[in-house]
Amino acid sequence: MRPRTAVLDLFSTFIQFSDDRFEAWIVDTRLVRQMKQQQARLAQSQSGHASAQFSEVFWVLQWYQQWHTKAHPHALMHLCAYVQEPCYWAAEQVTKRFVSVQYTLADGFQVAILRLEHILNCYDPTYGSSLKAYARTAFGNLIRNQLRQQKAANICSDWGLLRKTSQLQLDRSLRTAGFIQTDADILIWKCFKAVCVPGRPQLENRTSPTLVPTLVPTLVPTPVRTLGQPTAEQLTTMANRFNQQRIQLSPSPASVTAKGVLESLRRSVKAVRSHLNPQVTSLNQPQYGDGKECLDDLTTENTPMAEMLAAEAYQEQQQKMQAVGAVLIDAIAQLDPSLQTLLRLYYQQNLTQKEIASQLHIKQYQVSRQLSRVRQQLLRSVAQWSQESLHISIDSAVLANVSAVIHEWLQSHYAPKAVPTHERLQLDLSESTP
Amino acid sequence: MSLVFENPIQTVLDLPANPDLWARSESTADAAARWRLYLYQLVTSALLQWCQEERVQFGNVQVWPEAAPLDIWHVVGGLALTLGDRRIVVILSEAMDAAEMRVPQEWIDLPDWAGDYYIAAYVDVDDQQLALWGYSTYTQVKNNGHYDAYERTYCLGEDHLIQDFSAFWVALQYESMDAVAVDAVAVDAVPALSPIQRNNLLNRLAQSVEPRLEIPFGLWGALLSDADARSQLYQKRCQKQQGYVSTNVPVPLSQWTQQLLSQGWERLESLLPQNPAASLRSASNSLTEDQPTPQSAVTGGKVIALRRHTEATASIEPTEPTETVELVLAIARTIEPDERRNIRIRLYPANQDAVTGPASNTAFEASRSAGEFPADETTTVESCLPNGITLALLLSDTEEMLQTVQAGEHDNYIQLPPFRCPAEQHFSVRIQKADMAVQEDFIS
Repeated sequence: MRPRTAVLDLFSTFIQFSDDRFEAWIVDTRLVRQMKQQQARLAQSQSGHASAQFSEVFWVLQWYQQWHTKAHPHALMHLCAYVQEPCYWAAEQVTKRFVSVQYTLADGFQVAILRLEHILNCYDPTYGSSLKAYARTAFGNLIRNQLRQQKAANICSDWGLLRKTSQLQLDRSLRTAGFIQTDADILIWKCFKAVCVPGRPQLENRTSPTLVPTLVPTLVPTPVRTLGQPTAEQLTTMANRFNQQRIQLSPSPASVTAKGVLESLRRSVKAVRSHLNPQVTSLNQPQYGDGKECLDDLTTENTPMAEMLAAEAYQEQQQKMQAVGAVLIDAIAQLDPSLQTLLRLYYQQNLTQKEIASQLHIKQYQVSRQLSRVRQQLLRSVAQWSQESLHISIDSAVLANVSAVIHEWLQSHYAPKAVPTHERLQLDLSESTP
Repeated sequence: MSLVFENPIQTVLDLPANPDLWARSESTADAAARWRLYLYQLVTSALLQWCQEERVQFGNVQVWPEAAPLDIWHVVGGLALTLGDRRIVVILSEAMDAAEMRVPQEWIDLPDWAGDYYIAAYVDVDDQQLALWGYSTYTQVKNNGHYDAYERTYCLGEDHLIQDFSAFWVALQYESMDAVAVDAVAVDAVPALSPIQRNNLLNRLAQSVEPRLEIPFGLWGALLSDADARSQLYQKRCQKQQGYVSTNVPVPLSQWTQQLLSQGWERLESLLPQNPAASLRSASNSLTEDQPTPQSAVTGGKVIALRRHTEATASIEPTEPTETVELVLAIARTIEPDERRNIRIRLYPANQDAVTGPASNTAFEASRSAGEFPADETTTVESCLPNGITLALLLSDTEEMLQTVQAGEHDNYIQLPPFRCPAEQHFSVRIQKADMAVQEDFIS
C-alpha cells in the first residue's frame, strides 16, 4: 500500500482492493469539495492559524468534533477516509497471524471499518490521544476478536454455538437474516439455555448390586462446544417453559410445540453462523457515497467559532501530550530493569506475548500480567500527576483515556527514531509497488 | 487450541476444571442448576486468586454475602466480591462475542446489593479461561444501561464498557467513593414482608419456572434481601425439582470426629436423649473385639423433616405444608485398620418423650465414647416410625438403588444392612413416604 501524505487526500480518499490486495486510492469528489470549502474558509477567518489548514492533526480534531457534536453530516465519512491506513495495517497484521481461519486482509479490513463509529465512541482526544494510533489498536482488537470468535464457532456444534452467543448477537443475527420480530425466537433460545447444559457423559449402566470398591471416576462436564441436539424430552420442557412465559411478552407470540422449538433454534443457529462469516458484499466503493452532489452540504456551514475552538483544543492537546510524555519518561526510568526490557520487547521489537515469553523463559500469562502491571504503574504516575498539577478529578473514564494515551505514547516512544516521519513514509512508498 | 486475547489491557485468568467440585454436585438432579452452580464456584476461586495477586492493599477479598451463596446464584446471575470498602459485581456470561453486559436489576436497585463496579466476564470452560473484557461503574450502568423490562436487566453495550483493566485497579485507588455511590440513594426502599406474606411467596416461587420474574420486583427484592428466606427458597426449589431435598454438598464422613461433625449434624445422644443408650453392636460384629478408638468410630444424627404440600392447582394461593413427619437419621462410621469404612445407617422417629434415669445415663456415657447407636432392646417408650416409610441406600452418581428397608406397623427404628466401602465413596440415603422424600449425600 502507498500511504497518503497530502492532507486533502487523507480526508477524501478510500482504499480499493483487488483480489485481497491494495489496488488504488479512489477519490470521493464530494468529500474533496467539502475539504476545499472548509480549508478556504479557515484561511479567510483566522489568519493567525494559517498553517493549521495544512496540519493533519488539526483536521482530525476538526472532523472529530464535528462528528461528535453532529455538526456536519459527512464528518464520519471524512474520518472514515482518514483511518484507512490504520485499518489496513491492523487487518494485515492480524490476518497474517491467524492463518488457521479463512479470513483475508480485505475481510478483516471490511469488518473493522464498519465498526468505526464504535471506535469513535470510545475515543477521546482530550488527553492527546492520536486517532490514527488509537484506531490502529482498536481495529486490531476488533479483527482479532472477530477471528477468535469465528475460529471458536467453527469448532462448535450448533447447540454449543447457541450457548456461546449473546442475546444481542442473536438479535442482530436474526435481524440481519431478515427477521423483523425476534422476540419469540429469543425467548425460545432463553428456554434452550435454561434447559440444555453440558452434563456428564453418558455412562454405561452399572449393574453391580453392591457398592463398587473402586473410586467413582472423577469427571468434568462435557465441553460446551460439543453440546448435542436437545432430546425430545428437553424440547418438550422448553416448549412448556416458553408457553408459560410467552404471555409476558407484548405482543404475546403464539404457543409452540416441541417441533416448533427445534425449528426456531435451527433458524437461530443458521442466522448466527452466517452473521459471523464475512459478508461477501464488496465494500470498496458503494458505501462511501457515489459522488453525487448534495445541496444540503452547502447549508451546513461551520461557524468560525467552532473552528477557533478546534484550533485551541489542538494547541492544548499538544501541550498536554508533551507534559504527559515527560512524566512517563520519568516513570519508566524508575521501573525495574526487567520491566524496562519487557516494554522494549513489546513496543520496540513488536514481539507477541508468546514470543516474549519464550525469549524471557517465562509463561505467556506472566508476560501479560507483567505488561498489565507496568501499564498500571505508568497510569498511576500520570493519574497522580494530573491530580496534582491539573487538578483533574480522576474517574474510570478519564483513566481509560489516559491509559490509551500511554499505550500510544509507548508505541511512538519506542519506535525507531532515526528516520523522521515523512521520510519513513516515503520509504514505505518505495517498498510497496502495488 | 486456545487463543489468548492479545490485547494487553484485558485480563484473562486461568479457569482450571475442578472434577471434585463437579463430582460433589453429582446428586443435583436439575442439570441446569448444577451447571450454573459449578460455573459460579469455578469462577469464584479464579477471581479471588486474581484479586489477591493484583492488590493486597485493598485488604481482604471476600465473596458477598458469604463464601458460596448458592442460594443467590441459583436464581440470580452475578457474583459479588468485597474488596476493602468497595463492592464489585462480576456478571458471568458464556457468550464469546462480548457484545454486551446484562446486569440483573437486583444488583443495581436493591440497596444492600448495589455494587460500585460491574465487571463483564466471559466464562470459557472449554478452554479453561475466564476473560474479563470490560467494566463499568454503578452510575454508568444505571444511567447508560438500557433497561429490559421483560427480563429485569440493565444492558450495557460494549461501547459503554471500559476495556482497560489497568484503569480498573487504578480507579479503585483514585476514583472517589462519593462519585460512585451518590446515586444509590435513589434506590427505592424495599418493603418489609409479614411472615405470612413471606411464606406464601416462597411457596409460590418454589413452583415457578423463573422465580425472579414471577412477582413484582419490590416483593422479590424484599424476599431476596432476607438471608433466611433466600435459603428457604433454595431448599424448596430443590425439593420441587427433585422430589426430595438434596443438600448438594455431600457430608464428608471421614472428617467427622467425636468433637466435630458436619454442619447440621449433631451427637445422636442430644437428638434422642430418651433413648437409653447401650450399644448397637451385636456379638456377631467383629468390631466389638477391636475396641475402636474414639477417632475411628463416630456417630451423628440429623433431624429430617418430610413435608407434603397440597398442590395448589386451582388457586395460586400457596399453602402451608399439610403434613410433616419428623425423623432422626443416624449414621455410624468406623475406619477399619485397612482404611476401609464400616457404615451403619438407621432411621428413628423424632419427638419421643424424654425418659430419665440413672441407668440410662450410664449407658448413654458408654455409647458416647464408643460412638455407637442407642440400644434398641432397652427402649422404654414406644414411639414408632410411620408405617410404610422407606430408608434406601443409593449410589450418588447413578442413583442406582442398592438397598431398601421399609418400616412396618410397630417399628421404633429401621436400619440398612451395615456395609463396608473404600474411602471417598459417594453414596446417598433417601427417606421416602408416599410422595414425600428427602435425600442426604455422603462421602465415606
